[in-house]
Amino acid sequence: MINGNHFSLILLSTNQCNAACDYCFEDKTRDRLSLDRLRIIAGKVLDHMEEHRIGALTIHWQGGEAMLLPPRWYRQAFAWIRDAAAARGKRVEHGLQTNMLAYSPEWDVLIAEMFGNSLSTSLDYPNLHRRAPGRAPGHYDALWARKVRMARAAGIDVKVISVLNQGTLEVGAERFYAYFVDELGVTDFQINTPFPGGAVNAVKQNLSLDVSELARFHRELADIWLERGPYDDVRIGPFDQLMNYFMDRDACLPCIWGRNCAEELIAIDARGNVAQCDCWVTSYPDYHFGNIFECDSLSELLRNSPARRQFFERPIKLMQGDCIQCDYLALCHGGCPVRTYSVHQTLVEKDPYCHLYKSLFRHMERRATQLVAPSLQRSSRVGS
Amino acid sequence: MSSIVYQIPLAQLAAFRGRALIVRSGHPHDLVAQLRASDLDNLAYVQLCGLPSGTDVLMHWAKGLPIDLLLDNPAQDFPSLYGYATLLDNHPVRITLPVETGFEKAVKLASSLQFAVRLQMGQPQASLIGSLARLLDDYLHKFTVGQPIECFHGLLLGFCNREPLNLWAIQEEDPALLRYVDERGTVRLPGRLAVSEYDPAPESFVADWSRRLSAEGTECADCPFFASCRGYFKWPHRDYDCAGVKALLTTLQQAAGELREDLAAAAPVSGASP
Repeated sequence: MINGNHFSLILLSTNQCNAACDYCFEDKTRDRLSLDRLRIIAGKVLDHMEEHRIGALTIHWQGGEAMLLPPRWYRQAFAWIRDAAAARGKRVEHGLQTNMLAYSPEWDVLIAEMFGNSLSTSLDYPNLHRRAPGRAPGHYDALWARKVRMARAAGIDVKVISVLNQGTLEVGAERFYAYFVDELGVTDFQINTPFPGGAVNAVKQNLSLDVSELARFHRELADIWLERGPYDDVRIGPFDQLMNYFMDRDACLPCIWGRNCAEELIAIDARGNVAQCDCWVTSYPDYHFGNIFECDSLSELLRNSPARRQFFERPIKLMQGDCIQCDYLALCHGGCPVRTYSVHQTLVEKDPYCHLYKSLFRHMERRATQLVAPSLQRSSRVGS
Repeated sequence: MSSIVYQIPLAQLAAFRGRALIVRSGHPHDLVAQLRASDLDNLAYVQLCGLPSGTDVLMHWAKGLPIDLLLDNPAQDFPSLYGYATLLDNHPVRITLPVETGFEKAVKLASSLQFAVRLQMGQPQASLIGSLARLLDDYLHKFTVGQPIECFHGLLLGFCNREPLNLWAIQEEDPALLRYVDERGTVRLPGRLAVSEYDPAPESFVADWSRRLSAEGTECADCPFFASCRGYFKWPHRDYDCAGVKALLTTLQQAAGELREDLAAAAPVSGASP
């Protein structure tokens, strides 16, 4: 939360990447953060937290490719941020999103100390679009799998994000689950929908999937997970959190379904540009909130940004449309701004995956209801 | 200390300091500036009027203190609720709104944002009973409604626990419990009664009113909900047709019965997997 009790910052330590994925939404450059510039960013973030009496900060490190800066850089960054935050009585946690292509055992101690021995990486199945420059996707897969095995051997918990594509729908949910769980041994992964963010290219123009087919895939994968997940000790996002939601447990739904992502996070890239999230910060300069190196105060920058105001107002404006009639308004609030913008070139439309979301919500609600005791189905008022 | 709570404008704080209070204002900064730490002990909640800006100042002030946001024009202003949702990080926040055309959108959004809701029921028009029935169904059965909607919530719990109910109290309109103080400092009856010329002793208003209705032989005389309602829906127009609200109360009573049976039948329920 920006103005609540917690601040989430997506920090691009570099805008450079060692991959050349066809569908990447980022406009990559060779910029890397120096430690001096990092101190400026961290100092202004801590000032902002102080001004808003925010006690805790989570920094989600990513790029470009975050591992293009060496472990020793992160070690110094970690120590400086830790000490600066402690001096102001703030708590800081760190997360790492990486493609792992540059991973080596040299990272292990840092990952244990700074990232709680856990990281998040990405792989699609089948992989159609992720590749190293000039190489085929198969090369990426093999290299990625080798690095993941190495990391696991070192005891690192590896989480995976997978973006669905036409090939995924063709192989089907059963094969998809078997590939990740049985072949790769992945036990914690999240499926994401594609969107044509950033500069247009031929691949992005053909990213769109039949939403009905996509919804069917989601439902089938959810059912497979519900059947086997408990035995395989597997978690698949967003199914696990939706089940939590519909079973009245604490649930942490993905940011695309937040009440307003403008309240929840910002991103800063290696050039100091500040934007809503990593999907916006390198690719859509018209939607930059400002530049942290060019302002005296992050709080002022955020308060006075016309672009940020548009994000804040998006759900308010969407309420003039049919979202207010939706049974699942509480879970979605109109969905993801960048998925919307990349398709409709405006923020003031609902998420193009609306039909998918509703289908999935309905399905998970039904499955959750089947799992709870019949005697509790009639009313959910107990203990309110 | 008297058990009566005074609903005062912030400007009357000095005159009523030390009593049990609800303080209303359209200026969040003024609330923070004028309410002392010692005042908070006597404060039931603060009420924000006129959809004020600048509520960030309340975020870390008096954490846990309930906030009531008055939405006078729900059909038009409901989207603005998004602007107040961050208050929920540190406060219980309730939206109070009148039951009038278009109000159901506001209730829907408020519930979706996890605000509690208080419906100023009054004497709802027949054309709004359908909307109320749909909201009641959502309240009773939808996972997406996780916070109380009053008066449904108070009535359901009362019916379920077979406790004596006072709808006037649930609606914060019982003069024995609450008084409204206007901008000049004049103490009035609460809610719809504030402009009333009917002037019994405030402490006995509900008893007097319900006794009067019984004596007049209105439909209250043989109404199964009269013990809970106590003539709430007959104020101010005694000829108000209660058929719609009786249907709502019947639904609530049935749901309470089912809930009671479910609770009795359910052994300690273990969480289902996964």
